[in-house]
Amino acid sequence: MTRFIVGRLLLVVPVLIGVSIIVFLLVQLAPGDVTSTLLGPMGSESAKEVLRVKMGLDKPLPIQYAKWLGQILQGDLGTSWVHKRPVTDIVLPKFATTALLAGTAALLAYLIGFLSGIFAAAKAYRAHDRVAMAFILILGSTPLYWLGLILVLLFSLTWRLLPATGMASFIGGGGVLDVLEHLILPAVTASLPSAAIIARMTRATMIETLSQNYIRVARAKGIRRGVILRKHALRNALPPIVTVSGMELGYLLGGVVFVEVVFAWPGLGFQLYNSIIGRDIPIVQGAVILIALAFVLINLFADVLNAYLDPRTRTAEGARES
Amino acid sequence: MTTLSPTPDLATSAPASRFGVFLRRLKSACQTYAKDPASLAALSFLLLVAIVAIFAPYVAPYDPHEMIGWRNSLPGEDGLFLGADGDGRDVLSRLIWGGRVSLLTGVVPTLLSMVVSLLIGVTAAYIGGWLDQIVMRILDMFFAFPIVLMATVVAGILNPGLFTICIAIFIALLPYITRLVRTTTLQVKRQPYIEAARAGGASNWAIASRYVFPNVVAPSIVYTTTLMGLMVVLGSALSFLGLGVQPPEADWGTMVSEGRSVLRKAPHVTIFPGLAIVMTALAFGFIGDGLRDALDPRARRR
Amino acid sequence: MVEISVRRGVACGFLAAALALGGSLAAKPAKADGTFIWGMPADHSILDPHVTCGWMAKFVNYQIYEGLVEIDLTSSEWPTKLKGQLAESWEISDDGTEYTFHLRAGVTFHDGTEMNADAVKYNYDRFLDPDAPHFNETAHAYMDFIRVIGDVKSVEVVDDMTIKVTLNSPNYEFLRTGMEDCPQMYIISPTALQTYGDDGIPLHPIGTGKFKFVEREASVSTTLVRNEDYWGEKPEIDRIIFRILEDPPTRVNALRAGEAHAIQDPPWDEIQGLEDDGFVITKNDNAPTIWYLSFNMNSPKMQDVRIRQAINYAIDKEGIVERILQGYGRPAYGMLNAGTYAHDPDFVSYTYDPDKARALLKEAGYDEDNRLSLEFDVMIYGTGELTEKWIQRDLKKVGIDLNLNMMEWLAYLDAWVPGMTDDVDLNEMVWGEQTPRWTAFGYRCDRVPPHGNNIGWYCNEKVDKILQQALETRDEAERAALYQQADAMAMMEDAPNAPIYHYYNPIVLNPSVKGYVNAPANWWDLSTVRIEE
Repeated sequence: MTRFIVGRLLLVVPVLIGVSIIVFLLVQLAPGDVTSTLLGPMGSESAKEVLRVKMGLDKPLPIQYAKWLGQILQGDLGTSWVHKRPVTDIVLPKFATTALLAGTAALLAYLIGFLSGIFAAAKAYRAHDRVAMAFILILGSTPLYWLGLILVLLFSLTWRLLPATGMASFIGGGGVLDVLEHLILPAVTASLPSAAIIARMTRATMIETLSQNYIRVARAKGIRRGVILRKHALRNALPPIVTVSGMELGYLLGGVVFVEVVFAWPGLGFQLYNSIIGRDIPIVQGAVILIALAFVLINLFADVLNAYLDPRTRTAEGARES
Repeated sequence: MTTLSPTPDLATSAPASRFGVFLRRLKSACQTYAKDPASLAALSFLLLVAIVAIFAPYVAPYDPHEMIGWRNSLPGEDGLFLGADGDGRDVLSRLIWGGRVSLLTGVVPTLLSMVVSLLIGVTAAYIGGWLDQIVMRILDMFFAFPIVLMATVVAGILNPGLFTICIAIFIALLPYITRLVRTTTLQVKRQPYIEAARAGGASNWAIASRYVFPNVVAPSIVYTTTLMGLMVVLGSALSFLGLGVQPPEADWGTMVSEGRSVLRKAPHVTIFPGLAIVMTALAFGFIGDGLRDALDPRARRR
Repeated sequence: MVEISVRRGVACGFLAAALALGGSLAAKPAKADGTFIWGMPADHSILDPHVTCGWMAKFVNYQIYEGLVEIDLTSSEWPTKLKGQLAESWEISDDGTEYTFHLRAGVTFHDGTEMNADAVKYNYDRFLDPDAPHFNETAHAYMDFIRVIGDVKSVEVVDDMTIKVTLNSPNYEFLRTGMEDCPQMYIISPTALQTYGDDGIPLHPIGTGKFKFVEREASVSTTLVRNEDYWGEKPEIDRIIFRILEDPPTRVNALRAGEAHAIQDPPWDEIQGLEDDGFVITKNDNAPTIWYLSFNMNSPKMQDVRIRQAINYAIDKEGIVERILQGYGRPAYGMLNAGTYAHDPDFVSYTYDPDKARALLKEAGYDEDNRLSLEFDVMIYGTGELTEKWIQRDLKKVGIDLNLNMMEWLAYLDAWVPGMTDDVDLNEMVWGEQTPRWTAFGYRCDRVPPHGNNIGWYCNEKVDKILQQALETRDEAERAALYQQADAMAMMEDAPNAPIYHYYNPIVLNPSVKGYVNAPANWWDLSTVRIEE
């Protein structure tokens, strides 16, 4: 087990180096002159030249990259061009709020997806299965930026049950209950597509497992269906479900941006989107690196969990091939 | 919406050694598919949508960019079956024209991604060794970016437009499909009939093209089909962020987001394109299910 | 029969949907604890007034900083009046080149620093004196855009509480120069400038204004509190929170849910519904906001005046204000926006006349078989580009095909400021300043980029002469007449622009908000606002 974890950790290193190269190259791809973005439309040519030297933009790319990587490793993500303050000050708190939203949404998605998937698999190919799957697929395919608006209209504006925007009340807010209240609508909205995917995945895996010979043997022996489902099928169906669940959590970290826009949730996704259109490259880089890092770690965790659940996957490569 | 991991039951292993066998399998697959009413209905629906979209200039009753009715006319008013949008344009005509863009963003980059993934995945897995390692590490790098993040950043850095969305989806999907292809190829490679063919003196190229490829294509098609539905939704979401097609062109996502401001006054402006997105995504999902049942003998209805 | 039943079915479906969606959502009084929450449509740029642009940043800075003089926004009357702020009084020399300001005694910055002539001079040196240790080159470039650099000869400290600004030539619009949004000639605490430096000021904006800066959460909100040590009348409310709510439906939701007390730029189609539900709609018919097209005089196609006039004739401005703006604007015929004292409400240049437009185009050699095709740079500003698409349709009817080149706002600004390149035929802007001198920045030959916003490279020496004369005329009424003369001459003889509409700046308030004044400006004084439950 330890060997497996070390092996997987070693695999993460080249990935992270690659990620940093890709993120660094984002600057080079971005259209427009960096210095004119920084100085605003009225920056003079001479001021631009001074700035270019000051920022080291006149040096060759590999040197710029090395310098940048060195800073990142020391926890310095640079300074925002638009807000003129350290990127970490802006990005870290927002990452926390996004993680809260994505984490809650993922939990909801696991719950909804897992339960409906098992339900559908138990009734595979019957009407219940079809209806449940179609329903969850419809919810999962509905554009979130539209669905969110409908939920706000009903729950916030018509019935006045839940707040419509933000993460906490600006007046007398900020307590745990207040945040929870603000969390419900966006988390439910964000969870639906992932719930649909996990449900489909769970259903497929369960059907597959239920058709295996040992299950048939167990059934032939007269073991009750519920017991088979719980004791045998579920355990063997878990690994791929865990893998997908990890990926869904990672996906939500980047994918809640639509929900953040609709609910004015002060998260990293929305900040990232704003910074992309505002060409605030240091924030884009910082946010992307953070999300990618989290995604890599979550996948790593899912693999380790799988190795624990299913010893067969305990080769560094094995987990990824399941 | 995204990140659908390859389901393990797609990793088919049925041998197909000759073209005749392939034809017979195709026939039986078609028969299986035709027996499933849901997938059949889904296929017919999509074909209809595709035909209507392709022939949009002849089918659409009005110019999708022209102000035809009063702003936000309800369905039935002004002689417009589905009403007019906030700009007084015919919702039905825009729906028909918008279908072109939405289907295009769903289908073309996904298909392209599948083709490229097949080439990369089969090559890497079949040749193996350091090539495989390098390809997998590069894929891992791209894999570190959640798909929406990848697509948003790519679409945000290039200039917004249809081409940008397609590129973004193409790049974002590559690691996912390639990984499925590679895994399947590795499984096929271990099958006894490959050993047999090799022992019988077949060349690498012959084995790859005649035995490996056909067995890898089937699960890839199933996976890709399901992804197409998700990509219609993702494409529409990118348009919502303003990263997609630019006015006056519109896809369904743009239509939904344009109508959000008048949700209470004129709900039809968002409901119809919203329905179109949902139904299309649903149809792709059902087709994917049907294809899987048809192409994978083990997953067939029991 | 079949058609009727289908229709009835559709109607029933929508009835059900309408019941769910369309019920009345009566305004809920927002909580009152002395906090006032304003929903902004976009994030504001940095709070260093000398190197910033934009209405949002000006709005926040207006509450934090003060200038020597300021435009009084506590009244919705037009035209706006100047009032002394850090300067208690001032004198203008007979030749109009020397401005002497007598500063107000006993004013301190939010950090406790005393405001005096040295503090003011220190601020001027920041953008005027290249030899000063705190000289800021970017601020210099920003000030050049509104000709502060070319206009000001010297700034002298006369005594502790008196400062004299000497100009190169007579200029009777000087007091209002720099009181607009881009850039803002506010006085920053010299101690703060020394302590935090150029990079630190945006995070530590320290002025003398009625509100003090507390914190800013990027893209989310900016919070200010009442300055208890303010030299004049203190604000009614304790705290202002500017919330960034970029998505229009979300902005409306926040207002409806009582999570914002006021919102700016409501979607026009929603205004009636908000009013029906008890929200208070305010507007100002004299907001200095004009929506206009500029033509590129360097583009070969646009050099023919008949084409520029044809476009002016071809656009149905009445239709735009009625059907898109829902009455929150009126057609514009000249470039003197409604917020300036020189605005002439009776001036009409070109009214909607598509036949005349077609005739002019025919004279210029274009017709249905030989259609004119033009490149139009368009900004994306969250309004769905409805007006631009309307214009595209109107012009199509007379035989002009417009290609809309859409650009994100920031990218658009970067393309707009340096002036149109030869491959662009026209572009657009929504802007306006309260000084009529603003038209000169758009008309004069020497105000082409980077020295002004004559981004269409227009030049007519006769117009220039009148505008210069206006600048040197002391009497306001005479000055107004000269500006009107220049505007009429430019519009009628050359038509370098197509003004489309004056915008009324609708602001929607929760009914519990009292005392808000929708002054003729694009930012507002929030010190008079109070909240009653």
